[in-house]
Amino acid sequence: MIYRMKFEKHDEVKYIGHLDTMRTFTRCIKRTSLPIKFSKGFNPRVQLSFALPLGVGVTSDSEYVDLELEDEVDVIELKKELNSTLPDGFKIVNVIKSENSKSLMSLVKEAIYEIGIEFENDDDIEELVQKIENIFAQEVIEVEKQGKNKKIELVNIKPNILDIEVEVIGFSSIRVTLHCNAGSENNLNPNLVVDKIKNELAGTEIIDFNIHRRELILKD
Amino acid sequence: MDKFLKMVEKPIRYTGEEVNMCKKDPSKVKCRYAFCFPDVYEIGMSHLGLRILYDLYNRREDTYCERVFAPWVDMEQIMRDNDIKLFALESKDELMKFDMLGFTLQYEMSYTNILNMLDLAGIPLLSKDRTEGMPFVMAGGPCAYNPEPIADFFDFFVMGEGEEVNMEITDAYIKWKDEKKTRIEFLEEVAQIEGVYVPAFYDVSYNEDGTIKEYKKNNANAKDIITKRIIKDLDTLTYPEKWIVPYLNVVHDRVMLEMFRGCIRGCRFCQAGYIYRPVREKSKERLKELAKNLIKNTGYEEISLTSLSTSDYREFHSLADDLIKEFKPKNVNLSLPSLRIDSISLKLLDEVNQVRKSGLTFAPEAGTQRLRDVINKGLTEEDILSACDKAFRSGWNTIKLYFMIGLPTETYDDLQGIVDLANKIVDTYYAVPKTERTKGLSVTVSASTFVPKPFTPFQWFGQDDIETIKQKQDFLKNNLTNRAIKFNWHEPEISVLEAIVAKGDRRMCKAIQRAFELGCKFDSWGEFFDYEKWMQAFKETNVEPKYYSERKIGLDERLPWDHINILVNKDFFKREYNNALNEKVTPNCRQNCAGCGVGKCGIGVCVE
Repeated sequence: MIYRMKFEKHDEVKYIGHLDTMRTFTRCIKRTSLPIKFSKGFNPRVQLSFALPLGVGVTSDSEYVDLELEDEVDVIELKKELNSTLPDGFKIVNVIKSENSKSLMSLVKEAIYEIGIEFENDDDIEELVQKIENIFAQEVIEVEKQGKNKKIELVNIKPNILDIEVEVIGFSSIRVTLHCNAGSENNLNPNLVVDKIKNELAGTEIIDFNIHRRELILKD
Repeated sequence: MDKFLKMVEKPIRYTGEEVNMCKKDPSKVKCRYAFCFPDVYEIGMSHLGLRILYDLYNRREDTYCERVFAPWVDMEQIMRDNDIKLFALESKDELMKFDMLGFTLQYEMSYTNILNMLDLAGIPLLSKDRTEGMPFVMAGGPCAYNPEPIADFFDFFVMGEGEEVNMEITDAYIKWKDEKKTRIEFLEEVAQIEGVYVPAFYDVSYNEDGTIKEYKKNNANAKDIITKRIIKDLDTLTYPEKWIVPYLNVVHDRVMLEMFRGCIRGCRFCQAGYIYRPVREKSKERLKELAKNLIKNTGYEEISLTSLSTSDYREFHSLADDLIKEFKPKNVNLSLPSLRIDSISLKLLDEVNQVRKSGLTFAPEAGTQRLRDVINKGLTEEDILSACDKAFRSGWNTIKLYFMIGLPTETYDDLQGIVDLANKIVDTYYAVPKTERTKGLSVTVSASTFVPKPFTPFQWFGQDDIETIKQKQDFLKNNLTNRAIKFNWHEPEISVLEAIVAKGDRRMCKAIQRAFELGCKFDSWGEFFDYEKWMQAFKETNVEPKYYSERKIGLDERLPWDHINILVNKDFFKREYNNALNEKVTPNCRQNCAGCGVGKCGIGVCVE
């Protein structure tokens, strides 16, 4: 029995990395009285599979995880039980019994991120918006990325950007809404977009930034 | 804070909010206590004492205990650049808002971190500079038994197990606060509590040769001798069942089940073997109940049976069997550290460790039977070789051996003994028929450097100088040549510094402070340890390091820690010192009482 759960990750727990998040879920499930189905083999594990790792420091409204159980359970009860034992900041928002045999990971196709950026308040905010729009209007957007064997390589992120929108949301802050490819085939790490903006706006002081995954789009 | 956390490695070290963290409204309590661990989160959260006291304080409605760890260097830099004061994980409030800070002293190499933490909190380093309204700074833990090298930094120390005495101190604090008395009056109050030491109430004088002349009380409330506290009945003690589950992979990332305190063995180099006396066990039923509750409350996948010599628990095998029966179906593993390897424990290890046969570890500590008799390590070559033989036959192929070099009376024959023993283990492996053994033998020989510690029979001995230690290491490097043997060693400087500080007196305080000012911190971390800076600190403060580490102390000399009573008599240590020189073994507490003095308490192993 596979249960597909959608959850949010906010507040302090956004600093938990992917592996630690998996461990947190495993222990949380082991604290419940759910009919856990352990994997076979020498090192039996709680059967959990996550959709797409979330970077450290990134919040999300749209995370997915599949949990396999031995018996059928009531989805409302399942949600209630997990929410009562998950640490604050995690919240299961929806649970369905999954009939889909494909792995969650393989269903992930696109994601929408909101990147909030706060500037030193003496900068002309409209001008900054224009500058950022210009960066992403180019045909080729090259960023430095740490590739395999730790070598820095230049990659073009343009093909993975499906849509990008920049708006002013405060006196000195903007929001970049990024719709991009995600998943195991084509994936854009939103941190590369932040790095690109930081590099191109060198000289403009960025006080703070935060990345939020608004939506993870699954397609069969 | 949020923007700074994005800039550091492992920000989750600083956020708290773990499962089972205690949440309280700080404005509703009378005492805010900060448990301070002078190392990073992952180390501190692996410490059982923190968990015990955190739980105990927080069971009180009038007190809120929070946790504070040493920030890693990246975080420290950000805190200093942005004037962020050291804060506690629970409320994120800075330490100056607390009533009491309690540091745990687990190893001497954390002392500069304590000063760094006080400095980051904006609290004066020296007790004498703290004024009304500032928190009291206290310390406890194993290194507190020689409080002298850090006496200037603490308002008071606690000797021994903290469960009762810390609560008595808190009661006294709340009463004192209600009565609105002065800082000194509180110290006079706690100085009367058994186990509490207020260093400022004693003046030390020295003889012309630099040895200690006497300790003179300068306050009528101070005691002549400060006696350690022990808990009589461990079964009625509360245990932290609401066990905090860290998000990070901490060093000991599992449930720790304390089976007993103390150790019956009496290895002569081992401070833990004396300061935690007498052995007191928890009942099997209590342990099983705790294990059940802890697993239920944490979801952990592993329970570790923690004590100094696990298999000395009287009902060890039946406890282990019961725990395996209970937890195996739930896929919870049992981890058994500090096991004395014999055929029964091998069978047990086989059972808990069905898949991967991780290495078997032995700690002969010395290479010859003669030297093992000197140090009273009751482990024979025959024990080791027969255990290895059985282990090889049941599939093990990795053996780890721990030795010490520089032990009192050691000669090169003893070092040759290390080489011989390692070679004999290799021979034992090849003597097992090919079909019965697992391929790929690996024997790791680790040699640490002996550090003489207070409250051991070896406290009077000096340590080898650095050159001698290096020569001995070279001898082992050159003679452990078998392909299957790997030799591990450490640069001796850190062990030398450990000896200097461990046996230090009050004159050492200035040197430690100077070392901190010169930038020493995280001294137990190889990448930060800076021996040259320490030597500079000693020089600038006129402290002769070799006086502390290498000098052989006279048996009649007044030791810096002689006003502390750990319930084991100094005469017993002198007897053991002579037994060592005569290569005479002392039986363990269960075989025969050696009359160490702790028997007068009439508890635990002394009355079994």
